[in-house]
Amino acid sequence: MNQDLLFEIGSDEIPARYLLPAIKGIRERTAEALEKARLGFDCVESYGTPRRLVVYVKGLAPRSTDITTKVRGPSKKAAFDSESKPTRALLGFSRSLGIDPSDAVIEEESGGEYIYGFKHESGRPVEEILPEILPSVVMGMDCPHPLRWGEGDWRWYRPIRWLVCLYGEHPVSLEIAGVKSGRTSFGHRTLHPGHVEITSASSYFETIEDAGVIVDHNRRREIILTGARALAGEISGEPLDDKGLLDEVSCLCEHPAVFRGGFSPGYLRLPKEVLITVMRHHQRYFPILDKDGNVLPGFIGVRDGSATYGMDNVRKGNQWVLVARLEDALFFYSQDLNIPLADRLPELKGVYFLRGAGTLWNKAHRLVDITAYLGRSLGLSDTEMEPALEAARLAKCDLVTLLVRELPELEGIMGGHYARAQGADQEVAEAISQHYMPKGAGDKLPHKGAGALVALADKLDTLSVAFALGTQVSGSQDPLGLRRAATGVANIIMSHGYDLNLDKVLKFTAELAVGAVKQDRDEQGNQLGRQPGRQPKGGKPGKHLDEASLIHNLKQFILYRVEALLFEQGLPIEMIRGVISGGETRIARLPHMARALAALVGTEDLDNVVTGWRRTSVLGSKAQGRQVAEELLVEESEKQLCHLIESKSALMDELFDNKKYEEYLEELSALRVPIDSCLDNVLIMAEDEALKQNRLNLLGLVSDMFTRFADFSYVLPLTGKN
Amino acid sequence: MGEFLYFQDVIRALQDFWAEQGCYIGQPYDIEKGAGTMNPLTFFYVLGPDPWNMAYVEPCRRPQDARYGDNPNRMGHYYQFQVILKPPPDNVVELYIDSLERLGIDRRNHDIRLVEDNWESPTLGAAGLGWEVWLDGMEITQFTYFQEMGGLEIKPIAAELTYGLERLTAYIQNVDNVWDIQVSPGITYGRIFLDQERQNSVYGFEVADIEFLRKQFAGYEEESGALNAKGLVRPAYDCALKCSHIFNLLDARGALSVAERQNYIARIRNLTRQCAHKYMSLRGFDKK
Repeated sequence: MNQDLLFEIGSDEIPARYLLPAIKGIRERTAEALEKARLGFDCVESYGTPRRLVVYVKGLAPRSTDITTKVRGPSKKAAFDSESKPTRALLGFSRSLGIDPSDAVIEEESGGEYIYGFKHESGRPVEEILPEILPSVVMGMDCPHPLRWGEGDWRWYRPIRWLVCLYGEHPVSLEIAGVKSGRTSFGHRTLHPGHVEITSASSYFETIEDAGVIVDHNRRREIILTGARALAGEISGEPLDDKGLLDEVSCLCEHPAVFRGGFSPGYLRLPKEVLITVMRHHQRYFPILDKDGNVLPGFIGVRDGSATYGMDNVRKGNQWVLVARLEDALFFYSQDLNIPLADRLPELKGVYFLRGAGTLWNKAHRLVDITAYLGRSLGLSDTEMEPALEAARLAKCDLVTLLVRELPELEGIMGGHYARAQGADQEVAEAISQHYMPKGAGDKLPHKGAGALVALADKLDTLSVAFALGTQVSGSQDPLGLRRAATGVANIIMSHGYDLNLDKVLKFTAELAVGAVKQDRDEQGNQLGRQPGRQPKGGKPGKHLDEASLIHNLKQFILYRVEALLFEQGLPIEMIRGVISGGETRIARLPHMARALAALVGTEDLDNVVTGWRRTSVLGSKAQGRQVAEELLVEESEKQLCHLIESKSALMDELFDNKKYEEYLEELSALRVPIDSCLDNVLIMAEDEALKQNRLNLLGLVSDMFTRFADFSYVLPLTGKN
Repeated sequence: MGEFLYFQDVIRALQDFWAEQGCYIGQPYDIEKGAGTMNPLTFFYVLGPDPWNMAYVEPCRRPQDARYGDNPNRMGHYYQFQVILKPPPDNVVELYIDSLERLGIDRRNHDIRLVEDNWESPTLGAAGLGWEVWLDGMEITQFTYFQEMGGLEIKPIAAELTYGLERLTAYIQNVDNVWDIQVSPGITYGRIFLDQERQNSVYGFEVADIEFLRKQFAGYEEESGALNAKGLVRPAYDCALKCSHIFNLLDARGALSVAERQNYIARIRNLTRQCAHKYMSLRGFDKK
């Protein structure tokens, strides 16, 4: 009869960040191992707390299934000797399967005849199989930073302390990391210290809950969330909505109990971000916000233990700690306020940016240069650029302030606060605080204006320098967050519609980056023993300093992010790749172009455009120039095509430059008939070399109008043709 | 909580508790250091195969953490209670909680939690995995399973429990400020240490002679290397400790750029690594 299996692994406290992946991992690994062992089951469930991972298998079969497999043996020729007696080969084969040689059959396969035997494996009892498979289910888990301990140099999240393994009511004995399994578990450290006997798999959950342990992490999360909302509601607030924090605190306890603490409103003069960071990151409290998003002088904490007993101690202790931290933050904040950001500039000379590319001081200078370049490219006047340039100059200064050294996640934000408090222009302060945006997928973009310009400059510079240093990005290897930076560049340019030419911008930033790397190398030569912090992975810097290939690599990297962003916007991938491959480097235009093209799907226009491109592009690419001599045009249809192109050329340029892509595509569509007529009636590859070149040049002119828009080979499949 | 515990009672209770667990009760070492781990009784004795169980009080100096005596629980000089259990017993976490109960901290009346914190000391070449222990949200102990010391993998591993004595006592005595801790009847912690804390804050942040310190660092560094070469690992280690403290002073003084800071750390690590390697080979522990 099928029965349930309980398998509990008790350990010292597993770090919260590993718990959810571990709960999922052990479920998957168990199911996989049971299937492989041919043990039938209804389903595998898993749970976990810091001190235990729990696997519960419903309806596990008492025996694995029998299995018979057909195995190919030696060829008939090798199996029997000249007297048709079995050879050693056949005897050996039979023995390996445990069958009599006469039970082997001969079958034909791909021309030859072979011996086949049937291998029969009987099912085995579950008590025998589990001790074989469960140890590797556990010890083979993917622990990111395993702890090594004990005589066996075992490695797991933390040392394993006990194992409970019950099949129905029966203990299954197995051993993992020197620990033998039994029916003895342990209760909550404070609510029920000491051991607990588990009588059967099915009684486990009740018994362990009586011992103060809520093994279901989802239930713990629910208890915390409900409790936090109720307590925050009592002071007309809401707990900060933070899924990561909720997951973390529910993985930091076996029996959550929620409480509310408070602090003096005097600390509310600290910036909101500081208050939230101190509560959230350092103490794992939920800050409480009012309906306008202001921080209220209270917090929600989670205790692992009783909801009532000793709760006053817990609240008081937590308040005490928070006040000490806020006091410290206030000390740093007031110290920082006394030093104008601009006075911090020289300090940046002592902080490295990326190893091999100088200091933050160098970076600040490049930021100003790049920001100015971007401003000029966008046609801003010097006065209009003023706030962006000032923000670029000061953007990195907060990295040497006391508070940002203490709370690095507030980089930029504190710079903005200090600038504002020290009387900087509002736009400058805002640009400083926004220049790290967007910090990730879904984060807000910096505002159009100074903030976006400095943010762009910062990311372009980081990308260029990292590439110049030979940093590799692959798979999960992206320690400098270069993908995020490139996505930020693409997103800011496209969303704000900045008509910047990516080629030219990258030429500018790459040149600066190469300069920085070379300068650093020269200085390193004179100064031994400098060992800066962050070091990008990759080859030797020298190899990556060829500007042309640097620009090319940067461009491809950013265009790939453009493609991903446009795809997320729901545009067809064919259109996206088509327009990107068309070579338009003003990337803010690409979404419009792809959209205009996508609008043609299902219309005759798309067919016309693609056909026009298809018929002209191959021949056009053979053209050696674009000079078309009037006197060499012989046939009527080529004359017509030529005149049409000449008359439309200015209009088409204007449409293209003014982003009137729908109309531009209409014009391309209208070229279909004259193109067809020309190509149907004129022998392009004429024997007369001069005529031939002239006609190819004409087609070159025509095809340019298509290829400047897109590489339509990507679009071709959408027309239903090949 | 039961009877009132003075600071000295807290220390005595911990010593008694760990002595009962079979620990040798050691004494502080006489050279400035930033953490109890730097005491040679930890540094050298966790290396090698022999079991080692020990507990001691250690004064720590961290000039960078000084706050002129203005902060309720940050100080540039304070005491740690250090326990080494090598190899750690299976119930080491339970033993630790029992030790808190000895201090009158009833586990049911509080929130005791182990929150991941993987400790490393770049200057000692030490690394381990473990937790901060939170008592009602306050970090009172660093609990580490050492994996490496002096850049060497250690086997068996050792558990290191480092109690922050002032915080713990302030909490037990229900005072908001470590300076108000009652050390013994009628004597506060502030009366003994506040003046020293203020003076050393001024010294560390404002006055320390940078050039003098740099010279001293270079001198001790050279001496340490020379002593190691002669096989005198203990005095060589003392010199490395001196370097470490001088580095901390330079750091607090704001005298080091980031690059220089890294460089100094690497130089100290190099010294402690030499000490560890030399110690292992002199003891014959490096041969398998």
